[in-house]
Amino acid sequence: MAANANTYSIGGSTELAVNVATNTNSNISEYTSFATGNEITELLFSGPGAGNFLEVASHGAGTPLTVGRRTSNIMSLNLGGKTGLPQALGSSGAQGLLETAGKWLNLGLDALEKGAIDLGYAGAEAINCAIPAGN
Amino acid sequence: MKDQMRKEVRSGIRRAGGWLLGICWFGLVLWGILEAFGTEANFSVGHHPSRALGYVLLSIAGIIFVVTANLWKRVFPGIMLFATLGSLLELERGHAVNSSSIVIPRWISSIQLIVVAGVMVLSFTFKNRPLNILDRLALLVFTASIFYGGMEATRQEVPLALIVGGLCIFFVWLVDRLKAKTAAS
Repeated sequence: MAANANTYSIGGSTELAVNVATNTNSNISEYTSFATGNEITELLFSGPGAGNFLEVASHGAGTPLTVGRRTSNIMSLNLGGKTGLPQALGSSGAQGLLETAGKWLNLGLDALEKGAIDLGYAGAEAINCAIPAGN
Repeated sequence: MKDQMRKEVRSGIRRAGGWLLGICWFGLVLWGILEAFGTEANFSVGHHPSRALGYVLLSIAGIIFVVTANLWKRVFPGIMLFATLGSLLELERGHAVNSSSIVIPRWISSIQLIVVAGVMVLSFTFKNRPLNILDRLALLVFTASIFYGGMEATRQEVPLALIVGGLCIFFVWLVDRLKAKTAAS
């Protein structure tokens, strides 16, 4: 899987598109791979013990088993109410603390956008490699 | 409830569209680099690199980068966060991310990691203020240094360009801090 890793990244796939469109051949994205490469692929499919990730994942999945409620006749209470922070917390320092926590969470979500793209590429690579050659 | 859902869908489409535009911009830069600095070996038989076209493409990409800085500054810390992770992986593995054939000595990846992590920390401050022309130019220099510094690192040379780019970011952060202190006093 490591052989095609660069193609399954923002940098590699964009370079491939440019090469196809302009009929060229280059490897510029390898220079910028620390910024435009796919860190998730590198973490999962490269390094010591890599290559057997799918096998390990399939072993980890275990035997299918479902547990829990099987009926739908459960009563739900849909009471309309006033949303927002509980009044008791509003007067304490909890509001500021929650706002700060919200900001950090938002920051994390912004950062995760690149991670989500990398994860998509990693999934595509895993699917492509799982398909036996010749199909 | 419906309005909220509509807002979230719109926001998602805007974010995805932003990333696609960013990828298109990156493609423009790669094409520009290829035309401006590529050799005959990069082109198919009968085709030659056009230096003029390359410089025009890179200029257009630079202008787009500077003009739209306030629109993409929100995702910059995220990109730098993953660049830090990438540098950390290069340090641990001893080769370029996704390219095990490109060996990068650990002392070079250590320098790279320090610069990238430093810029990541400073980049969080860019989110909370409108970027002036000095900030935008520093970001442009740093982005250019990722390309040139990356090339230096893969050639097993000191990534001087990356260090200069990182210092530019540090300089504009310092200017902003001094301005804020002067305004406060």
